[in-house]
Amino acid sequence: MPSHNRPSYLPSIIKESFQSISRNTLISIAAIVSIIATLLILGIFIIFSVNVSQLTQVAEENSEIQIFLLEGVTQEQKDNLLEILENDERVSEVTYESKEEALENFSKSLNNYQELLGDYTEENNPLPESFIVKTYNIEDLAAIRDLANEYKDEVEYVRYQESFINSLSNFTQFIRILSIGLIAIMSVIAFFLIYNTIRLTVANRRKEISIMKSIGATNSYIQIPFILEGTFIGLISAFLSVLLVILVYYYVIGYLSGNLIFSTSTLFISPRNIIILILISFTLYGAIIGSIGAAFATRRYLEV
Amino acid sequence: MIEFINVTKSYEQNQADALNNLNLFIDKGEFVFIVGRSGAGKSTFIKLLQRELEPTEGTIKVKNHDISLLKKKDIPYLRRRIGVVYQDFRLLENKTVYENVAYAMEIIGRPQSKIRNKVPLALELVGLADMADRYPGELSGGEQQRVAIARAIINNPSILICDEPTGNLDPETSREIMALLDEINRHGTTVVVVTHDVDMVNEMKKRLIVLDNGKLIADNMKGTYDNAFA
Repeated sequence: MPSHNRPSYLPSIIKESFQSISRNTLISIAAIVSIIATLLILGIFIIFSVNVSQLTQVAEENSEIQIFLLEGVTQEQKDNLLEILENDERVSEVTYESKEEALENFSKSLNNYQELLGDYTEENNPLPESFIVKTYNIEDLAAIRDLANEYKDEVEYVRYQESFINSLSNFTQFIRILSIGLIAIMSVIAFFLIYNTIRLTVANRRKEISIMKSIGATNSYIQIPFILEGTFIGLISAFLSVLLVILVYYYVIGYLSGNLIFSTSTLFISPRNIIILILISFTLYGAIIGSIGAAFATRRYLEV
Repeated sequence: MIEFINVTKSYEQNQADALNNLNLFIDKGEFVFIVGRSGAGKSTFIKLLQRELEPTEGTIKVKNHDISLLKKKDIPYLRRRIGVVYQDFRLLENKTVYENVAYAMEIIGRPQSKIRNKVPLALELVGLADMADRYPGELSGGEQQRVAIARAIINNPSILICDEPTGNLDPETSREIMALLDEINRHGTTVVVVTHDVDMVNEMKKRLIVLDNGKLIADNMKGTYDNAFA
């Protein structure tokens, strides 16, 4: 005699959702994989955007031009140029960097690789002296650059960063459009896979549904287990994706740290700082696409 | 309890099972047979009552309420008032007898404690107390019929409708099922039995309504089919 399977204390609705997911294993897995793929793209996009915006901010705060002086300019020439720069109302700050300071600063920026500079001393220091100029508005940097370039007897060349900022923001724009496009396409695919998963479940349980209706179950009572099932699929995918994205990000940062001579801690946002953002956005995305897909899949069957 | 006023139901495709200007009134606590050949309009009658279908013309009242005025979201509550025992039983094969009956309480949100109290009583009433753990596939037709009846009455409907309850049963079992329905009726439930089992109708001597081609052609108290047309 079969064991008496008394209805459990766990609300039977939730139990049935899980049973149903395990019954339609293959198509459930297909739906989960497609949502994970979509979320990976979203994850890459989020990580990229967050890092780029930090990078842009750092770059903007440090926006400056560095005017490198020719070897052997006189003190008078330097004073003259300094006065012109300081009197320009667009300029907020002018710092003089001597050859010695330049060598020291460069040495510092190399972190653990200072021995690369081992052969250079004050006598054979190849670095030029320079003025580091900041402006109140980042847009004025170009004009100051042009101004400095007119002093051909004193100025060797002007290092100018704005082009980097520009290309960074162009690249960001490109990545943003590409990601949004990909996410949209992938979302449509994920939606239909969830839709079909739930349709199959609904079809499997048609008899049950018609019995439920004839006994007087409300539409929402009938619909809720299916919507929960879709939501569970979305959430399972979301959590797997969070794990995957964070692991990959840790790995990539670890890889870069080991291979770049510059410190990555200032360049990249720590995974700890974006895990909340990723967790929330993924969970929301998973729950929303799962429940909407399921709601659409069940709506038609309930029209009696 | 149930009132059909000038009810016509026509189908676009075929005229079988349509209803044609049907008037009938069934009072609270009655036991009524509705008899007719297949296609006479019996199943349309049940579907109209559950508002699975809507009449082409006319008014259907349940407990003095015009059910065509019900909003869609209120239809389930109408169906809870009307227990239906289907000809094919409509039991869930993967649930035990106990679970099939409990299910009807679960879906209208009854608490587990109530369910655990009430289901055994209903199974007792239909004589299946010792079969709670069986699956429908292990039961005879008559036993499945009893499970369906237990499920139909578990939520205390005012009306119990049975569609061909003896259709697939031997005479002995049929008699037992009818005795059970009679007992449920004596507890106050209005019972409507839709059938073409003339022998049983004649044996029970209850009110008899005869449908033919969608029309009411006879309505006799304590009627037998033989004298329905007299």
